[in-house]
Amino acid sequence: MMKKNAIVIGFASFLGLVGCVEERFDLDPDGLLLSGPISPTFSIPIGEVSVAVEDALVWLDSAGISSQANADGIEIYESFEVLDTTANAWMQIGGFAWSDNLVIPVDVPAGQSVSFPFALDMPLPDGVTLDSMLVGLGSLAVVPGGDMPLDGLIHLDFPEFEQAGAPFNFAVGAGTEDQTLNNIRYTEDGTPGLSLIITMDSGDSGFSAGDVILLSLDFTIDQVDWIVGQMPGVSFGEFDHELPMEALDDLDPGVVHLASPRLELEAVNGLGLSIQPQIESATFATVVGEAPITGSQISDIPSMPAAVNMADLVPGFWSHTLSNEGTNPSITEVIESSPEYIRLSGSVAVPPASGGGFVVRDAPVRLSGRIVLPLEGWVDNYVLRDTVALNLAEIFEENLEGRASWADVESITLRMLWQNDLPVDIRPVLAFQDSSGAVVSTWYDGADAFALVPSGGNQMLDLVIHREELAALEPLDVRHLAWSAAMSTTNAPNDIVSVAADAELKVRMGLQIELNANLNE
Amino acid sequence: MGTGLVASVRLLIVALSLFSVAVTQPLQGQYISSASRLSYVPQHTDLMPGSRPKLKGWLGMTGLSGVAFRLDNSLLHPEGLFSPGPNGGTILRLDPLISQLSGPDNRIAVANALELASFGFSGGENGESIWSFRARERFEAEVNLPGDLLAFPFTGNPGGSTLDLSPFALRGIHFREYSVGWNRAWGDFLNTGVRLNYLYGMEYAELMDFEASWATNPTDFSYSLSATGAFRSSGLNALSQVDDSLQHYLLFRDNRGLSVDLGARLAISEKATVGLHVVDWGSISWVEDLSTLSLEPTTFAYAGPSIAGEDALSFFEGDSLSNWIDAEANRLDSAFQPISNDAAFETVLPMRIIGEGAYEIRDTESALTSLHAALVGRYAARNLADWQLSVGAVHEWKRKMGASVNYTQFSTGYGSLGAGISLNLGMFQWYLAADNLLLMPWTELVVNDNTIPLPNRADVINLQTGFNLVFGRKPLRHKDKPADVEKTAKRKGIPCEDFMAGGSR
Repeated sequence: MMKKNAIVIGFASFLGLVGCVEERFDLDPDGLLLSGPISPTFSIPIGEVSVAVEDALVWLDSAGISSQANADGIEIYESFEVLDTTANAWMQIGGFAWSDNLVIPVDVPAGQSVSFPFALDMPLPDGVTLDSMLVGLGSLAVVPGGDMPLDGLIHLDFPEFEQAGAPFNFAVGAGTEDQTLNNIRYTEDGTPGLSLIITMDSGDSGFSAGDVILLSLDFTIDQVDWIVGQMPGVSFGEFDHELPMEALDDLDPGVVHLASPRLELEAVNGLGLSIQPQIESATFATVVGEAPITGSQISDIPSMPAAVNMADLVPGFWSHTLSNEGTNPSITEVIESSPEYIRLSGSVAVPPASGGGFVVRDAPVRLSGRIVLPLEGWVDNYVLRDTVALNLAEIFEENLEGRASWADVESITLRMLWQNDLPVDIRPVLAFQDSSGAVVSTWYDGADAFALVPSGGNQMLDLVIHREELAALEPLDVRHLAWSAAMSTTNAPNDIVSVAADAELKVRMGLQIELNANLNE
Repeated sequence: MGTGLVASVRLLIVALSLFSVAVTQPLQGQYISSASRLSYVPQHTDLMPGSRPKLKGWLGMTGLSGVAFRLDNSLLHPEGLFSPGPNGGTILRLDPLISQLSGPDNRIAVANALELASFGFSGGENGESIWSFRARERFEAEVNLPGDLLAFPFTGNPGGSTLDLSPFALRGIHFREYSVGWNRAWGDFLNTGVRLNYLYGMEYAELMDFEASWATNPTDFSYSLSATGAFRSSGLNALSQVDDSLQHYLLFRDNRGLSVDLGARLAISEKATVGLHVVDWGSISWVEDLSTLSLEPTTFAYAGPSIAGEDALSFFEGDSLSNWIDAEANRLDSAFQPISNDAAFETVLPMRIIGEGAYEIRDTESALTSLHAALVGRYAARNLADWQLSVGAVHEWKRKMGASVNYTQFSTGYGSLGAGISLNLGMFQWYLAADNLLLMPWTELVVNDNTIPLPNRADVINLQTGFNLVFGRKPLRHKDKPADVEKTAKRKGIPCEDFMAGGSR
């Protein structure tokens, strides 16, 4: 019996252990602490950025990009307009008014007529000799007057005018009569000016010798469609253009050298006359005022070819380039002086010795230009830079909820895989800035820590910042990450290189963060 | 009954199956060694169908005759994880946490079985046959989490690393068995048992052939996500559908199957027996409320934004970044686009094969003591999935009481000390068996004012209990034999319950 009891008691005790609660823990998050070492490493692909030269230059405000003719290179240009006018302003040939007392020289019986020839002056621009002209729109008002009764018609004949292939004449009676003129063609008959023959019918009463008739003409030309004639020395416009150059301010001499910049001038000539642009003054701004640019390419400018086909106008096109070879100082020297502007002043005129030609209404005269910067030359430690907001303290507080500190980060590695097709070596640099923008440390301290990405090659760069360096950063109030890329061509300044339009710079980046923390100890 | 109520009841049944505390035999490798040797308990043949209950008959108490619960937890144990913190807080110690989570096996599994009804009786000229009938509800769910994924916060993904996500597993099954068993003694030396189970499937879900990884490129740290696999299910949609009647859910689903349990025990000496048993040899055809989502081998490469040309400088301005993120999300969705179908499928039950032996060390008028051992192998997808080896002892005070103790070593590396007891109080029988409960302190975790008790370190918790009405207190005797004949003679040709139950002649 005792044995059975012992077994039962023992078994009961045995089962009693089942419900034994050893400990009790409250997992309220507010009171839960993590304790112990962790050392994870997290790798994150940041992504890839690739920029071809032609794409990169799109960022340049208002600048254009074009491929170099007969070459793989690329060039930047900035266009500007020097002169934009038409012949209309010049073709404002005004009308004229004429008035005279016509005295009847002899008695004129009834039913007869008497004629008076006149030669009228037609006002033309200075120096212009008119061969022919088409008046598209005008008017003629004739007002007879005086005390003499006039019961016949007054006929006005303009032998040099014709309308629709027929001589142009005009008859008025008593009172005022206006005549609208359309497409009246004038053809000079060898005598400058306009001939006018006035014939008066005597009517039923006839004229007596000594009778006087006052006749007034008001000839108005509203629109001249074209003229043909001689126009030596006529000026078609003046220009005084200032070309801003602030965008090139940071192209410091000794850092960036553009080997073959040029200033291209282009013109469209809608005149049936060869005209001559003249640069009377080419200057660039310096710290002490404007300095002149001289040279054969400024003084010896070819004339613009004339337009052809007056009925269906084909303008003449013209271009002229100011390059280093024909300017003094050269365009390169002007640009490297970082001028605020380049100024061109001058005019476009018909050469004095010019032959005849035509001018049609609305014929354009435009002169434009562009400063062209082919990406040829060299750079020596030319630096591109920018900043990214980076509040390291805030990042750690937010992401690790304050449980980790700078000391928990073993290292941060920024890996960059470069592919550099550009003809320049690149040295990327990352630096930390405080709230004032001052550099307080680089990503990796050390003079030669930032390796070079050679031209035309691939390069893997690991920028590593270790725990000790992070600790040094902690009190520095880092607020920005500044990046810069110092670029140099090989053998600068001796060798000139050309940048291909499709040359590409590509960088693939990844971040690896290695933690080694002992939480809450 | 309202349709909403039907759905609620249906969910309740699933929940009860999940959390009820009783069963004879959890499905997947569940083998309560201490219960399998309680030979006065009829449910011990669930584990060893070739063994013979020392009873003439029994009637299980409805819903209470066999309740089993098993919890596998190789993911996380409280032991060593926590310590009192300052100001009444709690310190979670990372070192053991990382150690536990980094293991290859991070499995949480729960399995329940509830015997709805059972009874058995002996028959034959000398009572050599025992017929049994049983209805049983079975539920099992498991999830295995990849150790690499759990350890990610503590190890990260250094360049060149590959996180193997393939161990991720998900499986659940809910079905009912209707069983008819025939247990027969063939003379003094052999006892056999066969049980035919008609299976009624209710829910099934499984993640199949799943392989996934997350590789980080050693050079540029870009990611490569690869995955393939299929998820198939039956009955999940109907769980929340109100137009599926409860009657249909409980009785008239079309998911049917058959399985058979077989066993034989052979005497190899006066005191020793060996046995071989096969359990859950069969399958279920799932034909109703089906869904299969298949993902072909797919790789998604992620290298961050790739910005070219004019967008390079303006990428972080305006909508470019958000547009890119949207595009990447769409690309991810498109890449991992599964193909769905509703084809019927068949699932094979994880079959167990049990080899066992017993040896009597003491036999008196009032008690019997024996040693035993068993090796249980579980087969899934025709491969040996896991095994467990048990050794132990059982002591029986004849018909009054039985007690067993054993140690089980699991193939996953951990061991378990278990015990079992059965008490016959007249015709009332109560039994209880458990693995890994003994000598096991518990930790209570308080989360949002809810107390969650967890064993300090128990990779498996196994509990089985039940109530029966049992009949036949005395050993079977041949009706024509006198009671005082010589022992060997009177036992000849007569089933010996003790022996066939793994004890002595």
